[in-house]
Amino acid sequence: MPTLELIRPTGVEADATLPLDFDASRNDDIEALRLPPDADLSQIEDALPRIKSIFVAFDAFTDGRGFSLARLLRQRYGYDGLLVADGQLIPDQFAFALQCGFDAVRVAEGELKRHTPEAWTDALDAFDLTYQRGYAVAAGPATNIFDARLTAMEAGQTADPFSV
Amino acid sequence: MYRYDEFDATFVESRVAQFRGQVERRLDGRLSEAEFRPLRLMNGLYLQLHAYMLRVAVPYGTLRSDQLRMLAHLADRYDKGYGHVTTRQNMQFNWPKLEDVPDMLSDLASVEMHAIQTSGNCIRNVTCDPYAGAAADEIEDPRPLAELLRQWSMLHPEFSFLPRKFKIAVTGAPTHDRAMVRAHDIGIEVVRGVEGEVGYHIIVGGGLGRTPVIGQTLRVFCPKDELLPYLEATMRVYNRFGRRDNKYKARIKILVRETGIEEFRFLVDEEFKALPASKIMVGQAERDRIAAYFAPPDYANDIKAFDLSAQPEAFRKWVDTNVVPHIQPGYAIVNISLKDPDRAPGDITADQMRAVADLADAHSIGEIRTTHQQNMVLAHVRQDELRAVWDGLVKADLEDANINLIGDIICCPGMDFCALATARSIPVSQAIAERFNDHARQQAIGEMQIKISGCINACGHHHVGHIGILGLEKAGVEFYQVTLGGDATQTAAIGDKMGAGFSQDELIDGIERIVDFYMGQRTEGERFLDTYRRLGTPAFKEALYADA
Repeated sequence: MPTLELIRPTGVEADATLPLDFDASRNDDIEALRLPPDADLSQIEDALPRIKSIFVAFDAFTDGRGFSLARLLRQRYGYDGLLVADGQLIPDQFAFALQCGFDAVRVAEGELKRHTPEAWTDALDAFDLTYQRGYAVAAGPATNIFDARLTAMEAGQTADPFSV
Repeated sequence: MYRYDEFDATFVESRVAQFRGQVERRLDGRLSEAEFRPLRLMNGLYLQLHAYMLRVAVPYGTLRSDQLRMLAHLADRYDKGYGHVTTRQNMQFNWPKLEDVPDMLSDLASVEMHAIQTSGNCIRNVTCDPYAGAAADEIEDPRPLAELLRQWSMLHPEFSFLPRKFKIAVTGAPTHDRAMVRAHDIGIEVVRGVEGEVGYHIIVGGGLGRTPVIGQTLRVFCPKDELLPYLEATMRVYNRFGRRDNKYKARIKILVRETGIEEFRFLVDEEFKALPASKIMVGQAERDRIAAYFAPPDYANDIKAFDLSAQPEAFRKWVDTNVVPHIQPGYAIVNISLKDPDRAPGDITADQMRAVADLADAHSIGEIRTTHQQNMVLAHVRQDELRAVWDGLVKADLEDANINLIGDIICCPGMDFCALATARSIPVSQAIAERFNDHARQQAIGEMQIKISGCINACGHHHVGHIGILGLEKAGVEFYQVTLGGDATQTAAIGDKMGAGFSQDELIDGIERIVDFYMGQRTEGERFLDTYRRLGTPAFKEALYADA
């Protein structure tokens, strides 16, 4: 499976079969772990600092659970390893994936015929803006609208302190 | 009314361009129909029985006159000269061509409109009390909140592929709920806290459809600052744990029921505690910026008392039924009925749209509301201009005086348009309207909400109709089941199912028998619903089946 490497290389062989489980009694680094969309993150919380990359499975592009898992891994559990959305995504979801905390998307080779790598990168250009605070990313929608408005309001105030 | 700033405008333009690209990719095969389907739905585009249908968002049911004129333009140019107001305050067009849709969206964007999230498994267009900002019973105008929610829910990166659709309604008048907040995935009531501060009562898990449920309290009082983080926590719990194995069990109401409200609340609270709330919330300055657009208009203080007695009877009847009190002395709220017995409930022609837009410009600060009861509202009319408004409505054939009466029927498109329907609903609605055509009789019957759905998905809200009608089909024959005692307001209730179904003809007779029974039994001032609650199901059931 080719990987659309965006933020950084995944370092995982294209055709690697990823383990779904790991030995919790050991202390060594875990190269890669595959998480199902209904994963209970509290089960892997302690091991997270040792996991170099996590592949979150998307069994259907209409199943959005992986977006919440990514968000939780990044925000609540502070995971800073590599995070890959793995499976049935389409280019129109690429920005969402990055906004939720994924670094890359891994899709099956055959899918890249219709959804070319170019289509994937083009999809990132669709929006520069996002309304949700905390979901702006440099590679996709880079500007949060609410934050930008606040900045403009504050700039307006400091520029002319005597205006009403 | 809210105006887009440069950010809103750019965002919607990006969305139009994105959809144009998606249509191109669909037409040249790069997107399969399975892939295109959720994408087009998220842009309000359905494939219906005869054609595509485009559902245009009317955020919280508020339109400027230029926007309504644009809808008239779309109806003329891309459709068959009319549009349809839906029970979610949107406007849908039943006959556009796929290749025209990007241009329609482009036209809409030019007047700050879109079709984003009027369909699909995402957060849908937020609905609202149509009297917002004009009603005397309101704690606070809910429209700034609704606008904030519109923006927050736009293409939410985490919540655009939910288990199922997600509907939010808000009201600022918890004592007179005109937004059906208890029949939504999330309902929000503006309330006061113990110190008198304004915040929100969050209701969750209501809904109609196959499994009607009245929503329950998720949080008694949510401070304004905490609302968006709290909603994100709620949405995350739903997105992760809502059922995806069966689309009929995928709404949040099923999750709440299977989890139990206590456990569900616990899960949301745990999520909420772990969220970086300050990084999600939208602060006072931005909320004030939005609220400023909804400031009350400059009311005149010199409006003379209006003498109705010198006016024609038809006008007085219309004032009686269609005009309601306004918070500002000298003003009134005008309901425009889209329930002409000769048309489908909620249909309005392009010419009528333009006529209403002109009346709004002349008499109601250029603003129009759509209602979940599939009517329209002019919210700020001087009482001494009511006659001029009525004259204009008469000219446009929009003067039906039946608001909240038996002729004011909510009805889904049914088998005449919808691919899901199992029976026709529009002809039933027209037959009822015809049977009770006499205005004096309608007036005598008083407040009566008949709601008709053409299948169990309940788009016509039949579960919460005083009289609910559900159209079904068996062995190629349509038949209609009746529910009684439903209520869509702050005293929300699911109607009680009566027995065996009726053919259309039998149904109209049965309804007449129930109505006559009520008229004979009611005590002074009792509405149908009150008499039904007092006498109970068996008495009304007997009347319904008296001839069968």
